[in-house]
Amino acid sequence: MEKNTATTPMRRLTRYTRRGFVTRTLQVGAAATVLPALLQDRASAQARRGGTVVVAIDTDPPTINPTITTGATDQVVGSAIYSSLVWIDTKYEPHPYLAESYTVAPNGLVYTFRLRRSVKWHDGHPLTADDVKFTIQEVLAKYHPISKAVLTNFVSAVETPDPFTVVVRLSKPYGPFLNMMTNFTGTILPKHIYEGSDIVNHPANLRPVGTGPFRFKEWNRGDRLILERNAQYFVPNQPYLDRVVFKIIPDVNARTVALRAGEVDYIWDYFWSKDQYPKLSKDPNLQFNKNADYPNLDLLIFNVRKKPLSEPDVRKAIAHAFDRRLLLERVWYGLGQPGHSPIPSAFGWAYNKDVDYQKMYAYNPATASSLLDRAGFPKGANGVRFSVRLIFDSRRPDWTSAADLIKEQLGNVGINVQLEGSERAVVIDRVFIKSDFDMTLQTYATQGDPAIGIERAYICSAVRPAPFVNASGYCNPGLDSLFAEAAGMSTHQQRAVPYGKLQTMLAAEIPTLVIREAPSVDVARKDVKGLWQDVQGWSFWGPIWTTR
Amino acid sequence: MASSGVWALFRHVAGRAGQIIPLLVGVLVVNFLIIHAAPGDPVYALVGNYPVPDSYYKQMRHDFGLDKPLPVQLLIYLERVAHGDLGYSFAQRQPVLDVILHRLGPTVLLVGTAWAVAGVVGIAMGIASSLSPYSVRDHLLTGFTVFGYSLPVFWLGQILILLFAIGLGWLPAQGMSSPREEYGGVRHYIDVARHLVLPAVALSLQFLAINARLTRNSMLDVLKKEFITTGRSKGLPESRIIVRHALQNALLPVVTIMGFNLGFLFTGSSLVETVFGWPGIGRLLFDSVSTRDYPVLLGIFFGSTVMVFLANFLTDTAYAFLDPRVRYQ
Repeated sequence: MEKNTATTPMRRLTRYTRRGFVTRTLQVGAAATVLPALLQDRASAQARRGGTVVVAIDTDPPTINPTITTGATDQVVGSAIYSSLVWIDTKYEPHPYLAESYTVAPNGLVYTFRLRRSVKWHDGHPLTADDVKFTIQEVLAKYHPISKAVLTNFVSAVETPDPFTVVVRLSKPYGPFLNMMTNFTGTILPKHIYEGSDIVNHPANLRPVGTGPFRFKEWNRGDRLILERNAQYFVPNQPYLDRVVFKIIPDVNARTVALRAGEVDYIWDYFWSKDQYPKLSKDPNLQFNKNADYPNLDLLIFNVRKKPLSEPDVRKAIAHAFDRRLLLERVWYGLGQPGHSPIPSAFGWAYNKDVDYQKMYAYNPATASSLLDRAGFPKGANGVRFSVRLIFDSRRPDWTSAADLIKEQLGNVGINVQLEGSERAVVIDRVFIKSDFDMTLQTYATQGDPAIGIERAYICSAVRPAPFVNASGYCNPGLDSLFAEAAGMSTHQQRAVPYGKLQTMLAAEIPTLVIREAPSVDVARKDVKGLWQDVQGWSFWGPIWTTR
Repeated sequence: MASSGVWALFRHVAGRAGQIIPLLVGVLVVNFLIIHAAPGDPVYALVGNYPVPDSYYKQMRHDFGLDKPLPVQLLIYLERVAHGDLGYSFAQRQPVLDVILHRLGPTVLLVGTAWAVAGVVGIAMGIASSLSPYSVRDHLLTGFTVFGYSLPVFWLGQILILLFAIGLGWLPAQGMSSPREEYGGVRHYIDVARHLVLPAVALSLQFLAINARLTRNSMLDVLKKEFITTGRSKGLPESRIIVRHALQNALLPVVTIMGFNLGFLFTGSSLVETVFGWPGIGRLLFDSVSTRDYPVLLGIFFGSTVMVFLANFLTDTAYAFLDPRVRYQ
């Protein structure tokens, strides 16, 4: 099953004016009473009650508290147990979730959420505004890897004028604030359980109490995690399933084997290797969603602190020297598209159409060679200009194949690439903590907005020994100003201007080359229905049902 | 005479027990240093693909005891182990002993089954081969053992899954029990047994081949001995000659190898457990390396050292029963 691409929806949001914003706010409020019905009606027409869906994950989650981690297993399990204030549909439109409605002030500085009154925690306590205030101020703002910086820098106050109203006041506008209030970055925790405790080590992190469609039942470590239906779930008639079982299968190939054998029903993009795609796509029992989450970016990051990669012409030569379209076909079987810009084209409202790496840095070994000659790196007697080390996570088969192809093609223009595949922990240590690399292949999740997932790869303050930040060491204060300006605006139309400029700036220097706009591709058995209604398909469990 | 034999045995056991303490300390110290020398940070290994806040990182390192100098960490760890505390798992947030004990059962079941299958079937095949050397039967069995010994266990496991789980649908592909059903009583045991077949076959095949080959050669040696000829001359039944006289002597080297291979079975189980999603210690070891879960890794090394020591000790003891000439001096 193929879902709609993510290009057209973003254009709707570019036509915002101040009047449009107010109108939008009123529309949202009016829609609030309709949306719960929509939420259930989308699937309920033919949905069947009962059954179990088995989901493959790779390891026991270190915690089932999504507010203190961005770990994949923690998030996918936690998303079935917890809820957030809003959810985002596949057209990138936010909708109320725990909130019955919300309004946004015209100046973008005040968000008012009115909570549903019927929501109960799995232990029977009612959800109130105090839970939201506590979670935002005492948990997310202190511990969450993404939310901490945003909530600390932008949120000036969280007020609870009554038990079911939360008013969040920002010190300056933050464009993607509603994106932050979804399950990945804005899960709501129970105050009555966590208040006054060691949040990081609380026992409830391993036996969670949420408001989501499923409640924690049992955890057989190394084997499976079982969730059972929450009969008190606040969406009428949902969830449809009796149970969700997270089956722990550490070997990536074993997970797809289990899927084909019918022992597993669903695998999220993160947990299967795309070199299995040709085989799986022929299986008549399987369905795919090639836009199951926000797009990711596969990056070739240059360590610009070191020669010769400190030279922009050398980086441009490398960009010309290997064929990213060939890489897409050979390594990723056409899934996604070659990278065009630091901001993916899927973010239509932010993408600068004048920036296109496929045109600016088209595959052309002759151009690559002349750039290298000009930069002062002629070929030696052995045909080699210089050597570089390429580090990547060897547990990803696609990285290994991509690295081989890059080595071969760069070799044709006289660049000797030494491949260094290592396990993830070693790659993190060498690339992000010690900066002991020349080039590296990494995937960065965009998380739906450049301010959330892309900015960290380029700004000066992100040049520090920490994982998944600005590994290249590139620092341009002018670029930082543009990123900050764009994040601090309310509408997509306003934000598009600085984002357009910074893409032009980055394209001229390419400290990091986007080699692929990587879609999230989920796979499931065809008897699983109701999937992928949230833009992050793995995080919305209420509407899912099975014919099995 | 009897009391001197008991005293000799007691001295033997006490001597061996005395050896294990310095052995364990040495294993712990060396592994502690090696593990901490490996690149990679346990906190970063556990969190996702976004940078954690500095305060969170510092708290985690403090909680894990990693903010202390390495010699201090080592001394604290040894002192805890001396009191029976193997520490706290970084990844699982539970006492290491609980984590290991929870996983030990599935591994013992898998390894024990594989070891028994490798022993019983391997010895039987070896005997069958030795009774008609260089016959068609012998060649077929020899060919099978060479083939079985050569197959990489990781590859074999995948092939078994493709053939029997996906192709024929006879057996499950993954795990220790059905993920969809919650069986109780006898049905649970049957379910576990069905899940055990493929991983046990994958794990046992190489050792079955070794046992078969060794039994064959050992039996051929023993069957040439004069006491066998004497027994036949006296008119003893052939079955009695084979089982009571030949096999008992031929098994000595086989028993030695079986005890020796128990350690390899445990290490080999990590690959099989990974392929089949079997929730055992081997998988735990594999996962703990990826997550840099130092306490669990050290706990597993500690436990495996004890088990290898015990396996060798039991092998030595078994010798005394099998061979009356072996007595402890």
